[in-house]
Amino acid sequence: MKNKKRKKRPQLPFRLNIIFFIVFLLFCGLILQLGVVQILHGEGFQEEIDRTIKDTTKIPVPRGLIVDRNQNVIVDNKPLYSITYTPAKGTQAEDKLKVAEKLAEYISMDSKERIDGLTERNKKEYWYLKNKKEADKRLSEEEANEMSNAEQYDTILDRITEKEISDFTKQELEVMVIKKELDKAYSLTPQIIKNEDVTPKEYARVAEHLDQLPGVNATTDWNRSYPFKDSFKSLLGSITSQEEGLPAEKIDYFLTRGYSRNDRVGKSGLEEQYEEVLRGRKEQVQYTTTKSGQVIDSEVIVEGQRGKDLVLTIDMELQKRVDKIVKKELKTAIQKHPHANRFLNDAFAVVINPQTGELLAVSGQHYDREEGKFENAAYKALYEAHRPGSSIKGATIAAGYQSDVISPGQTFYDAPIKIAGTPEKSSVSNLGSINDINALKRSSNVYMFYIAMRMGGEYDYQRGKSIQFNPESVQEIRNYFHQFGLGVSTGVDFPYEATGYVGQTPPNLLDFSIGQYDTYTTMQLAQYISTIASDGYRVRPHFVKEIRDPDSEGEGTGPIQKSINTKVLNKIGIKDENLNRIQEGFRKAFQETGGTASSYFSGKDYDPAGKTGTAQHEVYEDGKKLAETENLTLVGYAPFDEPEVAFAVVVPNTGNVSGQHPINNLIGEKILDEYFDLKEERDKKSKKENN
Amino acid sequence: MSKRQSYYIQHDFIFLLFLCICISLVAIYNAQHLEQYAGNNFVLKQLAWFTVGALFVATIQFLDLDQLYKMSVYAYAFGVLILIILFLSPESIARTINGAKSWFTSIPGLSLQPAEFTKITTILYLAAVISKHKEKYRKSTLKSDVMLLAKLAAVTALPVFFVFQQPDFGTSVVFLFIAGMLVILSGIDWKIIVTLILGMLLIAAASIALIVKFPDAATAIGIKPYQADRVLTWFDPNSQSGNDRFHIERSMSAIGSGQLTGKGMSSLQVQLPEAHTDFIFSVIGESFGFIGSAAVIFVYFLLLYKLVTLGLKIYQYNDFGAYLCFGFMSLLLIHAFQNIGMTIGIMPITGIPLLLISYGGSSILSTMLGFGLVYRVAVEYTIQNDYLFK
Repeated sequence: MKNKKRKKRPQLPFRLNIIFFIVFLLFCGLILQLGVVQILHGEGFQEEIDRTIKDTTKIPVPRGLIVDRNQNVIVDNKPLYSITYTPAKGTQAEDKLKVAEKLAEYISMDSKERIDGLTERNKKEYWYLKNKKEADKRLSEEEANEMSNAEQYDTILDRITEKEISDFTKQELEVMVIKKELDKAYSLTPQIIKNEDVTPKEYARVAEHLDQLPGVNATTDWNRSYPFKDSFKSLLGSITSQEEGLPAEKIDYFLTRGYSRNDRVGKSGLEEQYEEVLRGRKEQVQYTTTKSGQVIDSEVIVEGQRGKDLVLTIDMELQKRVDKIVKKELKTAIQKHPHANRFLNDAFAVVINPQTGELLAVSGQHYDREEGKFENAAYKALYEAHRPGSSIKGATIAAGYQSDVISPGQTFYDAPIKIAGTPEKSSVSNLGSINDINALKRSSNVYMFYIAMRMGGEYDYQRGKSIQFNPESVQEIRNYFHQFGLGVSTGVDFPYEATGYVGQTPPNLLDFSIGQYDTYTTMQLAQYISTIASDGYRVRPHFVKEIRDPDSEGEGTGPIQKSINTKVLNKIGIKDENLNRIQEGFRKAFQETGGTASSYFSGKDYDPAGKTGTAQHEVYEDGKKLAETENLTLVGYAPFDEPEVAFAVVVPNTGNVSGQHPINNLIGEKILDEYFDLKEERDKKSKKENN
Repeated sequence: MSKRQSYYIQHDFIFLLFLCICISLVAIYNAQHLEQYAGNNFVLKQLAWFTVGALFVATIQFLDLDQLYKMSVYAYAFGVLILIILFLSPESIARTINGAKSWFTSIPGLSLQPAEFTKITTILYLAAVISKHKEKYRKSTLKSDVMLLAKLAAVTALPVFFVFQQPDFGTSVVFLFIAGMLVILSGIDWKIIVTLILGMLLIAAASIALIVKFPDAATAIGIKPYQADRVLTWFDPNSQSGNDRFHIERSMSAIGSGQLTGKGMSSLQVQLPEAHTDFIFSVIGESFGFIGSAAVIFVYFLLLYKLVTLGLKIYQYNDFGAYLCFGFMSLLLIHAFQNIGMTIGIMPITGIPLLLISYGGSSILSTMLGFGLVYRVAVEYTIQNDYLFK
């Protein structure tokens, strides 16, 4: 061993001391800075870490049910098992891939259309995640330095070849399908991954393995189901799908009311009208996350409650029967005179409780000539307006009384009216001297013309003479009609109703007085007849009877939350005894020999009253008149003394043919028959049950 | 235990190494509670590295300082050779990670960083070169000093060249720092050193000015954009790359929130990337607070102190051993100061681990090699001392 003993050179310890002193200072510097970071600013850092972010997630609840007045469920919720995904904040693509791979073991998403829906990019993204190391190499460092992260990613994807993404197994494709769905989710917002065909087995397997599937949940979503099929369905309306979300035209309205963009809302009919009631209250869960995105707490801040239930005034049994009647008579009419009735496509009926405005049945049948099929189109009873013809003569008489141009018992001589420069106008036959009651019973046009002329200021009609009407008289008579709901909104609880077409030029007072001028909806006619039946009180027709809280037990409806009461909109300004004369005229029209509808209604033990109507109409196409048609209408109610049911029937565009199928009268007759039959059946049944 | 055997038990070094191993394992264990490490057991792996490293230490004890001295040139050649092999290796066995080709990656799960070993072999050879020079020129002159300086510069330049090619700026700086320390301690005349330092400062200032003022020109003369960025961010923290700023923010947040006493075991709150390797000190700071992290710094300081005093003592008998100690001390010092400084925001971010504590096979094995060398020096000193005063 070498032993190099030599003189110590003085500079080493000196330099070493200096260096070691510097080392000491450096370490002191470290400790000092540690003190600054940990002791001086430590609390600040801790506060920063503890600062949490609270996010609220809303979890949808099922919509309320819709039941009829007898608690038959019309709109139900069909539960759909669904697998949802709620990503935490900052969830990375790799995490989602892991979830997708795991999920693929439990659910099946490999249907052909789903796999065909995969884009090239989906596949490349998958390949990238699976071969990240290899893929990253395809971008040189120089290139990477010049690109943003997004550009780098896109470039790498571009460099993945067709061949590499052409050879995936079915399992891999399935993972891609699932991953694609996962990618749609926003952080902290549940996104449905699969809901249409989740089998109970899949649901159970996912539910069992939730701990391995971060963010995934097995929940139930709801679809609307309709036990009565499409009967009345067009009035119930529909709700948007999750893909549609909030309707674009009302998006601000909904967003300001706390909806999420992918919420399903009523987009038409009663679903739209009562959206606020049916929607329920979403469960609100507040997640507390740290700055780094960990969920450290979740708390239910608003308990969810499913939507409230609607109890309709509709009697679905009656509705079904009315649908059947309307369809059958429409079909018969079309089959009986196929040519004459070639423009006959629709028939409508509204059945209403005249005292309360409760709508019992609203039916519309439409014949689709291209398809050769009949379909339910009840909404047209509110959407379509037609000339009613003589049905509205009760309103004309009332206008006469109200404006004092006639007095009770007033007679006119029914003979053709000829005014210079206009075609001769008459009743169906010349009725001779006739009073107000019989004018309704036998539907005298001439009687109405006299009222109209007098309201126009002409008390001295002479055949062939020209007449100068007061131009304001048409509006005056319209105003009287408005009191019956003719030409104005009925106030029905529905998102839309037509109010009818207001005839423009030239205003024809005489035609107006017999319902040959303005057009009215079937709903308006129902309100009109109800007003007469209920001694002059115009009530608001309504579909909804009660709003009920959901039953806490789950099924069925719970306690009443709100009752929709009868709402009187106005009372007709004529004396009761005058109104009684109109009612009497209606009774005779239905029951006395010579009454226009007596052959259908005389002898009925439910004591009906009403008025027939036939309006001349034309069918035009491209400005060319194709045919002259007739609108057949009928309004009525029963029993005469204590009316409990009223109806209006409108059948537009029947052929102008002798021996026409009396479709309006038959529908009206059968509606009343069915109504009272059903009532009797139910009475018997309840008596039986009581005994 | 025989006297002969007892030479080999250096209580102070064993105790300090044992402390470092404990700190390392506890810190890695704590870091593993962060989500990103689910399913990994780095504690066990690290323990394995330490065990292999301990075998290295033991093996080295079979060689005396003369033998080490003789084989230093071969070790150095080996150290440079592996850098050259790495430099020539295709991507398949030396993949580019974080923009640098610094690792052999052919064996999955085991990547080797040759530069870590080259540091030790270079220290070994530098010590030998100084020692040899001093023997040759008993009386140092200005001329001999310049010659020594030229030798040291050449020995250092070779590995630095290849490390810089990877490119690994941080490790290059480590090499230069160690060489610089040895130059100062080798007894080269102050005048030369001062001239050298002033000249280097001038060049450094000029290149930094160039980078800061004319970044485009800097890249034109061969400075990589990311290197320019590093320098730039040092001067303007606001312009740091998102990734670096993120690292610093997280690290400061972790350490700072540890406050005086720390959060204790298994209760980390800050998600920190590279927590088990380069940012292990942040984990210590968060877990054990100011007291714990200051204690770790103190352990390091003690180790450095032991090395300095050992070097000073052995210098009389064996200057090769002394320079080995100083070289290894410089290595520990620059790593510790740079790494800890980076975690508390007073040094820029580089990929330099905290030796003996950060997780990593290459760094643990190479550091244990270096430790084995200085341990041998300590053994040698004990033997010499014993022999002299018998």
